[in-house]
Amino acid sequence: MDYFGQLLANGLVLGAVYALAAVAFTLVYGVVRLVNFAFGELFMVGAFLTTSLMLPEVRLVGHVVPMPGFSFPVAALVAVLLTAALGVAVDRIAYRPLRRAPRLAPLITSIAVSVVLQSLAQTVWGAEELRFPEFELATYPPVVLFDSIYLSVMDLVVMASALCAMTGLTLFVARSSLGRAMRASAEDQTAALLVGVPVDRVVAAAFAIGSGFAALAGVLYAQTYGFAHSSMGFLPGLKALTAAVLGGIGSIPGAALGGVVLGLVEALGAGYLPNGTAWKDAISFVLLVLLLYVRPQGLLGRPELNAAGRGSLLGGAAEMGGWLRGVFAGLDRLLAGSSARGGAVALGAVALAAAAGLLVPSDYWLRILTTVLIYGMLASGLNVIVGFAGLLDLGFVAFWAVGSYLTSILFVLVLKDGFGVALQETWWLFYLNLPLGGLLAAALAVLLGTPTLRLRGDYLAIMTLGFGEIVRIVAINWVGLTNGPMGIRGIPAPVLFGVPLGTPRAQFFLALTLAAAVVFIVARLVRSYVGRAWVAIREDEEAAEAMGVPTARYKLYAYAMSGFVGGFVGVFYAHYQQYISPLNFSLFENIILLMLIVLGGLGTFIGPFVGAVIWIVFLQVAIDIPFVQAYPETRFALLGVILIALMLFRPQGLAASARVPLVMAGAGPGKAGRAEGAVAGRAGT
Amino acid sequence: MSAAPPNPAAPTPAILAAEGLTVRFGGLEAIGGLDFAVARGAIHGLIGPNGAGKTTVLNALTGFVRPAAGRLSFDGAEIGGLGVAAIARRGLARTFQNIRLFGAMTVLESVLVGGHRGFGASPLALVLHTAGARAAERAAIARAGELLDFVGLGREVAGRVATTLSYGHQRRVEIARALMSEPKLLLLDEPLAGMNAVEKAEIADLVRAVRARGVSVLLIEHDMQIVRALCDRLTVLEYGKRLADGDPEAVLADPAVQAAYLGRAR
Amino acid sequence: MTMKGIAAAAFGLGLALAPLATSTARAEEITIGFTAALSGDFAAFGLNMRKGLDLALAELNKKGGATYTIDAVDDRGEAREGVLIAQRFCSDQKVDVVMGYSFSSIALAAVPVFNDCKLPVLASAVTSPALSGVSPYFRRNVLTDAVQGAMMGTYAAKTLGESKIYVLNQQDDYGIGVAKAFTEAAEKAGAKIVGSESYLLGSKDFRTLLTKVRAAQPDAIFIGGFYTEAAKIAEQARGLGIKAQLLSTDGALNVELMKLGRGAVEGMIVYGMFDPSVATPATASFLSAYKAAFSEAPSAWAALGYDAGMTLGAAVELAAKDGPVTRESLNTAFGKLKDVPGVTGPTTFLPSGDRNGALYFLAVKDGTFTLAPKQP
Repeated sequence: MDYFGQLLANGLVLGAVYALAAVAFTLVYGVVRLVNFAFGELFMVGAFLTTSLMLPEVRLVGHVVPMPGFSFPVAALVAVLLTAALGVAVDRIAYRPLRRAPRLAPLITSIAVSVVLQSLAQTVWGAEELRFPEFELATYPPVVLFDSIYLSVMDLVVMASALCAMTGLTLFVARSSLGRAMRASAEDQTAALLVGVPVDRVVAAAFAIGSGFAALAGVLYAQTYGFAHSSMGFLPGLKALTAAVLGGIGSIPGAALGGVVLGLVEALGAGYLPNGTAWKDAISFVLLVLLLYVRPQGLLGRPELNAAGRGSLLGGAAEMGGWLRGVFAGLDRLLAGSSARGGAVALGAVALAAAAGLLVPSDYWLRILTTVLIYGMLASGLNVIVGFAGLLDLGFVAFWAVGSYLTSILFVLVLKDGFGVALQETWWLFYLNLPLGGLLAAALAVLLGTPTLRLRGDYLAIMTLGFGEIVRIVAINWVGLTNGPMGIRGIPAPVLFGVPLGTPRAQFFLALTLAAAVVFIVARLVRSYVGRAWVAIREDEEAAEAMGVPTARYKLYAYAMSGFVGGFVGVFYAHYQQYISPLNFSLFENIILLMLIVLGGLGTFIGPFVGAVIWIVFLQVAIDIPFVQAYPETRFALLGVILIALMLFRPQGLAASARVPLVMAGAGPGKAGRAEGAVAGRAGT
Repeated sequence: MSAAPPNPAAPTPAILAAEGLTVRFGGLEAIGGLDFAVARGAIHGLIGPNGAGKTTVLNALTGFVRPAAGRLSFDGAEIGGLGVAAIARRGLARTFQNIRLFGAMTVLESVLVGGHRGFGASPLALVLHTAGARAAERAAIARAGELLDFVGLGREVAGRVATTLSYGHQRRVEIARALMSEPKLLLLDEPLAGMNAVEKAEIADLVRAVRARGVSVLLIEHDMQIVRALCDRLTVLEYGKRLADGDPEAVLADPAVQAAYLGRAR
Repeated sequence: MTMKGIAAAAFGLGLALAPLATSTARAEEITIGFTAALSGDFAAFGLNMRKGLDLALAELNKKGGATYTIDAVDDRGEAREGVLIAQRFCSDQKVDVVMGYSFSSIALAAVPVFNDCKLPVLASAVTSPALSGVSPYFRRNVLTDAVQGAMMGTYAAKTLGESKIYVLNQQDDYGIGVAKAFTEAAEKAGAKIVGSESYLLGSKDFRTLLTKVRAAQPDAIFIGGFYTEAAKIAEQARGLGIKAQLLSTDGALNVELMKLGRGAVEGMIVYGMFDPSVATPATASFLSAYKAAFSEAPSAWAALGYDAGMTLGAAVELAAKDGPVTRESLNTAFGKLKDVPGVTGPTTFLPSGDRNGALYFLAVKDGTFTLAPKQP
């Protein structure tokens, strides 16, 4: 117990930073009902700007640029103001045009903004950490309380600035007219609009203040840990979002409380649990998941049921101009025909892929094509929940991991290492594991999804995000089960009746078979009452409910189906790569998968594969461009920019017009002149 | 096929009954102790000035809003406190004041969603396209086609994206979608809004045809001529309370109704 | 482009002359597939290796006999890339040997592919014991974590005489391996491990961890991890008033350590396979050449990259004696090499693909790595 005091102090310093950033999430969510994932990156920008402004010179994009060398308070103030302006600009460019669009579009856009900002920061400031400069206040000897609690002077500054900022904000919201308008908007937006609250100004103010708070948190964090780095905002951003949800998203005192609680729980958990430091990130996410089970509205929040959740991507898009419109119109005409002849198109695609598999001479390109298929399959699974049911899932990689680990643990750790079985004898187990891995993942999906499905879709996104991180941390830390970060190697390549399928060509054809199976299963479900229920939920959840669709149950089905595909593909992935480690299953992979479907086309069967082909082939081709070699992260920035543009102008993705018919093949009006031609099927013009 | 025709000898003559229905938003009482009943096989009108709480009543009946007090019984069973889907599955279908069709769906698909309750094939049966699953789909499609004819759209619109149709046609799709669930009672929230006289007369005919299929109707409407011609009974709402209830001619002649209603609207 | 052109011309000339001048070495064109994390958080290891290798290849090319070119691919430290890059090299018939690798996990994912296409690998920075004997085509000129960690453990307990040691490690194959070896060796040499704790790579906040460490009152803290975390641990430890001797690994052996940790890392002892103060002529010329080329002092990783290049040169020479150099003959030659001289000591590969070698203990003094005052 002798270090309880020190842990408390550590927790409070950390909690102060979380609380500040949590305010950013809460303010903006309160006013526009948007979880702006990009706040983590504004946090990072704040840190970089302060660091740069304090130095005499900085290397930007490889060039030495002279800097003013401000003192800490001046640099911090300028950085906070600049970041606030950046936040408002981001809102203007990327979010405001989508204000009237359904919820999924701005949510995805904010993730894309995040990717763009992080990649650009890496391009500008480099991949290495930038040391936070020394300044006088930081060199004072630490304050020692009770002979056992060490606090640096800057720790006190951190806590004091957080306290001041919070108090200032509370006064602002309570006293100023803009602040009151902001509170009114948060209470009831339509009502606020009716009473004449200047909504655009209120939203801009929320983004400015929110981004300023995120930047301040970033500055204090950078100062405390002595560095700035392009990925530094990621985890604190997640924690701050967790803190905001914990406290009750939308509530400013809730954000403060949530931040402090999270800081303390993390510090005490890390301090008292065995090997707590390695587990501490899981502690906060477990807390989040538990809380969403018990009290989804958070500690100080008000219950907010699924009022206007829509995952549709229709509507709200801006008109694009000029030749681009012509290009897409042509594409649409081309694809429009495809939706009527889904079966023929699918057969054609498989035949084309098979021909490629036979004719491509290079094993390297076969591997690339196999990777395309794997990512296409995974994206197809994610597409069930995101594209068809319209719910954002940020923990999909966890299902992938579950399938991969199931088969790897069974084959390598249990059969080979445990019982000394020769693995070629148990080749059939691979084929059994495919559905088993899928079912295990689906079961997890049901377990996890149940508490959030009555809530707004945002909660599912946050919950799944926490779940994905928990699975990854468990995979790293539970060495006894997963062999930890060492990963599992020696996973046998698939074998079929004694014929090894280890060559790149055999693997490609196996992947192609599985991909066809995945698309077939998903298509059969989508083209039935189940798919109609999903799309109805996506387009108008309340109307679907009023038509007798038990929406919560069907959301769960979508989540489970998506999990099934993730687990199924995960089993193959492990045997394909023959080695897995927790590194394979990061949140970034999830974001990439999400981007692939958005790129290709949400809610279509070919979209995930279109996105995967474009992206994976681009990644490989781009390796040889000298500029990309110097700045590899610019590829991700480019992807992010394309996605934001797509969200603004063509939110259903490139293959948007490859509309999926939701009527059973052969039973619908697509095939004229049959008994079911009872409904004449002339598509309207 | 359709619900039973009106049967005056049934143990509960009313298909729907509300007793002391009370709805509160925060501190505000939107509906205060409302009593009314819809008779089996009737076309019942719910009228009142703007803001009287008509749509709120509809929302309370269909489970969108949870009543603070009161009893709601439908077809002889208590439905107060049930969820939206559960109420819908008992045979209470509705349309919306501002049409809410599913954005990306064709007319046929939208109508089929209304028939959701009728499907039960397991996922495996769907993946394997078993004979049973196919037959259910075909039967539903045939019925949807019949309903599209019934609402006067014709089957040729089946493949069009519903939201690209004209306003009046969208109304009819919404009605077809609601009918697809084989309801016992259809709630129509201002189905005539924004229509010209010809269209209004057509929709009125459609409502009568719906009743002829054995479906009771509860109708919110502003057009008094249509209401007078169409409804068997009226309930008038003002400030969330019942102002009058009874035969349309008598109710509309009531000076209190005229003062409240005609004095304000138009 | 021109390099390739010249090399091709030389190769053509070699072919033309071959029937006449049988005794002279053929002008071989050797293409090296180089892969490592060249961008991202841990790019420094790969970039350093590359610099050392470039220097070696420049020397070899000047010497004549064979021309060496590099085809470099960045794996960004992502496991997913491992297989694809391996296949890219395998399918490219020009590639004769693969070098580099920053992360053991990526090398582990790639090895089955190399094993299938029989392409020899000579890695320089992957230290996981799991890579020992993993394939007859895989070799590395760096000691494993198991060996290095054990040497450090013995050094800490015996040479430095630390009796109470707290062990921290980053939670990955590298950190776990090195900490385990360190713990076993230190305990065997009589030290007491008063606690151990792990942290995730990329952690920033170590104050809670260090609060626990402080309560155990150790004489020394061993940090089994990379410079990024070692620097933060050092700084936060000093901030909490911890005065114990800090020890770390070759993962912390990087000039970035001093940039990030500044005063707090002063006195930290790390190890590596290269000591710039060893006054052999080879080391001296390497030092001056490296400084001339890159205007910085070489790290152990650069030295290993350089030695890997020189080892490759020796293997090519050996293989060329029995005909044209192929992947297979090059692999056989690697196995036959004996005591190839280098700045990290002589290189001979064991049947497991590992090598033996010496370890130097270096202390941070006035912001640079210098040979620690006490050596075993």
